Amino acid sequence: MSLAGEDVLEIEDDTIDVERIMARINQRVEERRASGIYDESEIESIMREVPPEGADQSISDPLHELNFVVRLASLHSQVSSEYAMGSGRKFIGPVIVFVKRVIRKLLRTYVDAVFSQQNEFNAYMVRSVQLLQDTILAQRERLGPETGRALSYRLQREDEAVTESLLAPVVELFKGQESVLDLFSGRGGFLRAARAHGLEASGVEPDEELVRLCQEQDLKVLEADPFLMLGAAPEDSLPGVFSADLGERIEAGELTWMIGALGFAMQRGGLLAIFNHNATDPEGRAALLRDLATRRPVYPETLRSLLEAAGFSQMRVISLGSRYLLTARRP
Amino acid sequence: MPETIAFVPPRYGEEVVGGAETLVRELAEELKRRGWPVEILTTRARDHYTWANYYPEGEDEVHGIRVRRFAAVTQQTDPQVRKLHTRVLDSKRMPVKDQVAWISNTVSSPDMLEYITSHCDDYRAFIFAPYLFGTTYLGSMAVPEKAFVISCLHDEAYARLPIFKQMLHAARGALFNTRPEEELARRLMGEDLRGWVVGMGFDSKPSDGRRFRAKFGVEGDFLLYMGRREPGKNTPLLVQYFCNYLHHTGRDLKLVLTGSGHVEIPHRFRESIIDLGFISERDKWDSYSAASLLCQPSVNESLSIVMLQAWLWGLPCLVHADCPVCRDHVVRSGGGLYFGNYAQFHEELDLILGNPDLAQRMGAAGRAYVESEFPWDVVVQHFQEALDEGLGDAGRGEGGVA
Repeated sequence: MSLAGEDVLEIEDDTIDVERIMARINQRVEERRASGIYDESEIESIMREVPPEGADQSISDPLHELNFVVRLASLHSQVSSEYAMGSGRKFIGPVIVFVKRVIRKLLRTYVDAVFSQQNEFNAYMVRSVQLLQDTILAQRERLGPETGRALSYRLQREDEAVTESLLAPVVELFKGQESVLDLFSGRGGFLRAARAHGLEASGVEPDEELVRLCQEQDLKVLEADPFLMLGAAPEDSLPGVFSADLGERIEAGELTWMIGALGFAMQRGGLLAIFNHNATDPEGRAALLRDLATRRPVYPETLRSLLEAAGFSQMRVISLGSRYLLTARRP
Repeated sequence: MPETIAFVPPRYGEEVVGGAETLVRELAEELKRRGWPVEILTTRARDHYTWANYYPEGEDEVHGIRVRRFAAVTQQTDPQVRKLHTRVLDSKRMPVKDQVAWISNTVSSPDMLEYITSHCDDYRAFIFAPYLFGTTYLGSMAVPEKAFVISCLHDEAYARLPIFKQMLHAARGALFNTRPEEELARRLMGEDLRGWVVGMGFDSKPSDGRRFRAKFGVEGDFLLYMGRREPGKNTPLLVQYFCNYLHHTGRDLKLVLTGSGHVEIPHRFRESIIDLGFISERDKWDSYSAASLLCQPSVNESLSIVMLQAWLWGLPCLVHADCPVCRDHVVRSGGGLYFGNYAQFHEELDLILGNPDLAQRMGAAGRAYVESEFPWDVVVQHFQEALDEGLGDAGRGEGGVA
C-alpha cells in the first residue's frame, strides 16, 4: 500500500529535471516491484465485473437503458467465423468437428467478406447510437439545471406557506381513498399536508435535488419520470391522483398524453385533483411569470375539455385566489 | 496581388471538435484579429464519422470570418475503399493509383476543388489541414504553387504512404506544430522536405475551480482527462491504470473524464470515475484550476492543445512515454512526467499527489514553457516567415498588420 503521506519519494531540487526524476522513479520501481504493488493480474477481471442484479435498475432516465443496450451492442458488434466448434457425439464427434472445420475453411473467403461488411455496418450503427447519446447529453447540458424544476420550486418558496394553507382542504377531498399519488411532487407541500391529515400519499418526482429534499423530511417520494411511470401503470390501478402546476412546465402534447394516460390508469370512481396557478388573479399570474420554467398558464376551461375527452366526469372548479382547484372523477 | 489566406480544413464550426480543427480555428481567428484577410473553405460536414452534410451550403460567418461550405462526398463505407483502407493499415505495398483512390474517397468535395482551382488567383495562399484527408490531398495537389499543409503528422501507417511524401514535397511547404513533429516528417518524407514549425499560440482564459466543483459536485483530488474517448487516444488504458491504482492504494482519488465518445467504466469504480461527457468552453477552463493533475495518455499527438492550456493554469501533466511530442513537452518544460507502463504511472501519481510543492513547481514550469514557447506574436511571426519563404518573392505579401 502507498497511501498519502506514506513512503513518498522526495524531490527537493529547485529546478525540475524530468530525466533525473524519471531515473529515480525507475530505480524505485525496480526496488518495489517484488512487493506486488504493481500487479496487474487482478484488474482485468475487475474491469469485466458485471453489476449485481438490480444495482443499475432505474426508471428515472431512459438513457440508463440506452447506455446498457449500447454497451451490449458494442460487446457483440464484431462477428467472426472463428467460433469454437464441437460435437456431442461420443465416437464420431472428432470426425464431425473435422468435417465442420474443413467446410469452414472452404467457405471462409466468402463468409468473411460478408462478415466484414456486417462488422462495418455494426460499427456504424453502434457509433450512430453513441452520437445520439452524446447529442442528448449535450442538449441537456445546454438546457442546464438552472432552468429545471429545482429552480422553479426555489422561486416558489416564498408563497409556499400560502400554498400549503390552501392544500389542507384539498387533502380533505381524498379522505377515504386507499392511497394518493402526487405527480411531480416538487418540494413535497401536498405530501406534508397529507401526512398531517393522516392520509397515505406518495410522490413521483424527476428532479434529484427535490427528491432528496423530500426524503430528508421522511416523505415517500420516488425519483422517476412521471411519464414513464404513468405509461407503465396498469389499467384501473390508481385510486387517487393529485398534481400541482399540471401542464404549466411541460409541452402541450405531453399534457394531452398525460391526461389520456390518467384516464386509462385511474380506478373507476377515483378522484383526480389538479391544483394550478390562477392566471386571472394578479398574484397567481405573478407567480407564473416569476418562474423561468413556466411555458404557459393552463386555464381550467382547457383542462375541462381535455379531461372530458379522456372520459372524466363530475368536474368542479374552485377558485382559491392565486390558485384554482379542479377535481374530476373517472366514471 | 491577392492578400487573402484561405484555410482549408475538412470541417469547421463552433461545434466541431478535434485538435487540427481547433488549431485552424484559433490560428485563423488570431490572424483575423491582427487584420489579416482570412477565409475558410470547408465542407458542410460536422462529424468525421459519417461526414454527413450538416451545415447549409454556401457562405457562412463564424466569429467574423467568412466560411464557404461545399458538399462533402465520402465513399469510406464502399467495400472496395474499405479493402484499400485495410491494405494501408497493414502497411502493404500499393500502387499509387490505389493510394489516390483510397485517400480521395475518405472525404472530398468536388465542388470545393472546382472552387479552389477556378478561384486560385483570388488567394495568396491555401493552408490545408490536416494531412490525412482527401480534401487536403486533392486540394493541395490542385494548387501546389500556393499550397501549405498543416500536417498534424503522427507516426502511423498512413504517414508512410508515398502519396503523402509526394503531396508535401509538391506543396510550398509543411507547417509543423512542434519540433518532434518536424523531425518525424523529415525522417519519413526526407531531409529535404521544406517546412517550418509554426504551431499555435495560447492565451490564458479565466478559470474558477470552485465553480467547477460546485457545478459538477466533485470533491477532493482528481485526475483530469480531456479529449475524445476512444482506444486511439488510449482512454481505456488510462481507465485501467487508474482502477488498478485505486485497487492497490485505496487512495481517495477521482478521475474526471470530459469529451465526446463512449467510455466503459467498471462497475466497482463507478463512484471514483466521473464521466462528464461534452462540457462547455467555460467549464473546460474551470476544470484546469480544479484538478490536481492532467493525464494525456494518447500516443498520437502533434501538439496536445489540452496539455498546453492546462499548463497555463499550473496543472502538472502525466503523459505517455510513446508520444514523442508530449514527452518532449514535459522533458523540455519540467511541467510533468511520462509513463510507459503501469509501475511508472503508479509511482508518478504517488509522487505528484504526495508532494504538493513539487506539483506546484511542475505546474509553474509548464506555465513558463507555454508562455515562452507559444505566444501568439511568435506564432504569427513564424507563420508570416513560412509564407514569405515558401511563396518566394512572387508571393510575398503585406501580411496584414502583424
